[in-house]
Formats: sequence, structure tokens, C-alpha cells
Amino acid sequence: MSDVVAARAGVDPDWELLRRAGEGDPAAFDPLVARHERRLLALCERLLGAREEARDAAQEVFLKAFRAAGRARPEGQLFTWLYRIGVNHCLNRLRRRRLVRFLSLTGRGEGAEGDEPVFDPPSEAPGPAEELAARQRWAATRRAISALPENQRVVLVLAKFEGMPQREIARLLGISEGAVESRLVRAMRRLAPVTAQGGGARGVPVREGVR
Amino acid sequence: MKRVRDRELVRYLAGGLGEAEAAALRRRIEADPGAARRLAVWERTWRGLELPPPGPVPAGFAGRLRARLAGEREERVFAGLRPAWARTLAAAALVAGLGLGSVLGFALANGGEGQGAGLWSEPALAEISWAPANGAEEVVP
Repeated sequence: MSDVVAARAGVDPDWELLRRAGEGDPAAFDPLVARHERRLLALCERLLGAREEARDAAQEVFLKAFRAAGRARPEGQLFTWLYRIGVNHCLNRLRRRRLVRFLSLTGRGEGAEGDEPVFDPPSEAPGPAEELAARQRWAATRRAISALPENQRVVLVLAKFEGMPQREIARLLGISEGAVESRLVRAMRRLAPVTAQGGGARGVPVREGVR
Repeated sequence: MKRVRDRELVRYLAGGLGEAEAAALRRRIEADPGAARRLAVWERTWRGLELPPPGPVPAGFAGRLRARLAGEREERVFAGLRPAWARTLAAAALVAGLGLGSVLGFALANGGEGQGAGLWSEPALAEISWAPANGAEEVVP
């Protein structure tokens, strides 16, 4: 199916590129990767909190997509599908990381609690004081997010940092919008006391029931 | 007025409400001091969540991916050839097995009595004690 035909049929033409790239067509591979690599890397980086691991994860996600190219049913935007693979892949990595931590004899070895991989990118803040402050905020956010259960972490990252509407998050994760809201509420209840410690605000008591 | 629920607060925070809905919720929040307090804390929390801007796409990302993909494709092609290999190998093993079996059978069948021609020497009849079927007499060498 050509791009024009696909576009007329209301199908994202990237699906056709994916199919061709999966069959080894370099003319399809390059534009497809170029179009999606940045967002996919950003998603993996935000979910995993480790830049190097995110790069590896993004490669794996693309590979999984190309492997599944022949079986995939073109539906909606290709990127939503890629995102779904990305979220699942990062969740698996987070679970594996937790398992490694659990299996660690000392509990303080690689990947131990509090040793979540933390990236340390160059700051875009103007001066050293601002840069230090920004790094501290990032580190605090990373710690707070890392302490969330995975299902809450994913929803929060998608809503807050990816700017995704709840409906889209629900579709992506295969859950209801109500479930997305519940997870967000739980995440906020956990985060509020933690983040308030730095700002001196009074935290909201943690309750698991969602109103 | 209906009490403001936490779900509505997160929907408001995450920008999931239209303008009219958001305005209506703000009016309800003004009339609900508990909700106003919760929203103030959550707004501060929501705004305080900051992560660094994502890093640039690393140099060679697409090239590495292309190489891995090509490697996988070659592996698949190689794997596709494997059944033919396996069939050939199985046939060769069968022929070899049959051949060995024939040789063994031939060797066993043509082994001389007590001459050690077979793979193991058969005991001479004289070495075997056996009772005749009628049980009349036992032959002892």
C-alpha cells in the first residue's frame, strides 16, 4: 500500500513503512526511525531514569516492532503502538531490576534500593547556583517517582511528562479512564508528603481508597 | 453542592477538563475548603515534579539498530536453512545406524562356535548343564 493510498484510507502511512523496514527496505527504515527515535528515547529515559539503559531499551523496542511488523494490524497511529511496546518493555526492565535487587544477597549491591540509575545530564540552567538547584529538583523528582509502584509511575510519567490525555493513556495501557485517574490519585497521595518535605507544606495523608 | 472528589482534582491538574468544566470545578472548590487545601498541595507537588530535558539521540543510534536488524534477518535466514540440514543429518545417522547394525548382525551370525569369531565367544555345548526334557537323567560333563 503506498503512502498516498494509506493516507486516503485513514491509516497512518508509517505502518507501511514499518512493514517495508521489517522486510529490510532501507528506504523505509531511515525515515521511520528518524521520525520516532527522539520521542521513544525520551519515553524510555523518563520511565527508566537512566540514559544509557534508555538507549538500549529504545533499540530493543524498535527491534520488537520490526520483528512484529508482519503480524501487526495497522490501527490508529503507529506511534501509539510503538509507545505501548515501549511502556511494556520498560515495565519489564523495571521488574527485572526489582528482581535483581530482591535476589541480591546483600540488598545493597547493584540496583539496590536508593541506587536507581540516575542520569546526570548537562543542565540548561543559566548559572551554577541555578544549575545546582535544577539538579537537586531533578534528583528529588527521580527519587520520588522511583518509589512509586510501577503502574502509578507509568501513568504519572505519561500524564505529567509526556503530556498525554487520560483517554490516550487508558487506550495505551488497555485500562479504563477511571483506572488511570485512580492510579494518578494514588500517585499524588504518595508524592504530596514526599515533595512537601522539601517545600515545608503539609502532606496529604496516604489513603488507598479513591474517591 | 456536590463534594469535590480527588479524581476530579487530578483530572483538573492533568489538564483533562475543558474550559467550562474547569471553571465549574473551580467554583465548587471555592466552596469546599478541604478540596481547596488538597488542590493547593497537589498543585505544588505537580509543579514541583521536574525531570531534565531528554538527552539528544545518540550518534549512530540508527546505524546500530540497522546492523542489529540485519543481523537478526541473517539469523532468520540461517535458521530457515536448518531443517534441511537437520534432515540430511538425520538421514546420514539412519544410514550409519543401519550399516553398523548390519555389520554387527553379520558378525554375530557368522561367529564360529567357541572360536572367538563373534564379538563374544559362545560357550561350548559341553560347558552347559541342562536337564533333558524327560528329566530321566542329568548329564554332567
